[in-house]
Amino acid sequence: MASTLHLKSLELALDAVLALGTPKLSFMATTFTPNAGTDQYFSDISAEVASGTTAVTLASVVTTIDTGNARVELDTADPSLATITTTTNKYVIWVDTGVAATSPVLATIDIVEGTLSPVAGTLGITVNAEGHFALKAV
Amino acid sequence: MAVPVIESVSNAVYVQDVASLVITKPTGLTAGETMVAVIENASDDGFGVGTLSAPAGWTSVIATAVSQMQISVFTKTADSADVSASDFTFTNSDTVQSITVGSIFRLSTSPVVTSYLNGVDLGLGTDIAFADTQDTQFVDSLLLMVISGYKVTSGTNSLSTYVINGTNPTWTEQQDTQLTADRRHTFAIASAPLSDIRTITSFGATAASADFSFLGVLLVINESVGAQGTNATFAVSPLLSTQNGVAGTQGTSALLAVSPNLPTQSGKATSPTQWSNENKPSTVWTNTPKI
Repeated sequence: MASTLHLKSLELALDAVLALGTPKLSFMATTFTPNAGTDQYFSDISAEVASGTTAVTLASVVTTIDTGNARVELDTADPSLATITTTTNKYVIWVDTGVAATSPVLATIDIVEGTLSPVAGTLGITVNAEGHFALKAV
Repeated sequence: MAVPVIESVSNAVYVQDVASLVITKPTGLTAGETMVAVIENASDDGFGVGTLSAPAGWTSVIATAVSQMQISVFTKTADSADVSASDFTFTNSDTVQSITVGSIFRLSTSPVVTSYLNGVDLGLGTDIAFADTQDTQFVDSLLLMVISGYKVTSGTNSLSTYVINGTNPTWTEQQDTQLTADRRHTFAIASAPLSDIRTITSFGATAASADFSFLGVLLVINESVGAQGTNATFAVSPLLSTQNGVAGTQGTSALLAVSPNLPTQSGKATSPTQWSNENKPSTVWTNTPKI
């Protein structure tokens, strides 16, 4: 009999973290290297936000249980920034509590296309159909 | 990324002592194209320059002044109203011994000013040199160099041989106009494509005459480029490690196998005489007569 986590509890746990504030997305500089152990709050990484960008308030934030894959997925509407000049290759999903030092960082996600360099253009992400990230139960 | 193209330019001549500078709409303007307006306003009354204002919807990029000269740059993405308009009016708050001159460039498709430099040369020489530092960010830039000049005493001037540091791109003069007599001003604009990324530390030109003070702006213009990315869903697998359960003090017992003491028993068994009935013969008694 295999050990397993339980999907509903995973979903509730993720929802609880998201409920701490406003879920947001920040594009990061190409030099940013995430540290899973020490990058806890937005204040830990804010200095490495890609220049010229601002945080995007995520819309249509939803956690979904995918029983077929035994995981809980986080999905949102496609985020974008208009009239941006920057260079980035990854983004961070975090929850804005209003105070950077208490705003938890959830995940750093690589951009599949690599480095994007808009010039006064729109910088956007077409979110994968399975969402930004998933917590697996097995 | 391609160097932004100057599709057309509309140059207005100097106006003096009036509030309005009207610049004709660049020919062929279509919605979505970028307009870059470069305006000089100056004053000869010794009380400084006036405030220059653009029509509604224009975005100020830079306004830099020295002494009696000011260069202002505005940009706007043309909309249908702009396409329908015949001209654009810029206003100068100073109408006393003031002069205003400017140009509007029509750029395709929708480039933007990504950076700029500005400087002052009060050396009164013919080699105009402005010092400022800016890193160009992208390849294939359009450079627009704007120089205004002023001389205290009468005289004329014209500019040529535009340069930046490093390998000099090929410059095209777009505007070179002067006010002479008692209004000794010159205004010139030149453009050049710059294919490489570099740190610009100086720009300038050559003046035909000395004794002018100069104010300069160098615009770096690049095509607007959007970028759309995607993500691969990052699935985190849990580590479900085996657990060794320990609840309190767990004693163990070994099965105590007790062997019984089974003394031998002496058994005595007797066998009873097995009697068997024999068939008793029957006696036939006969009665004897009694005597």
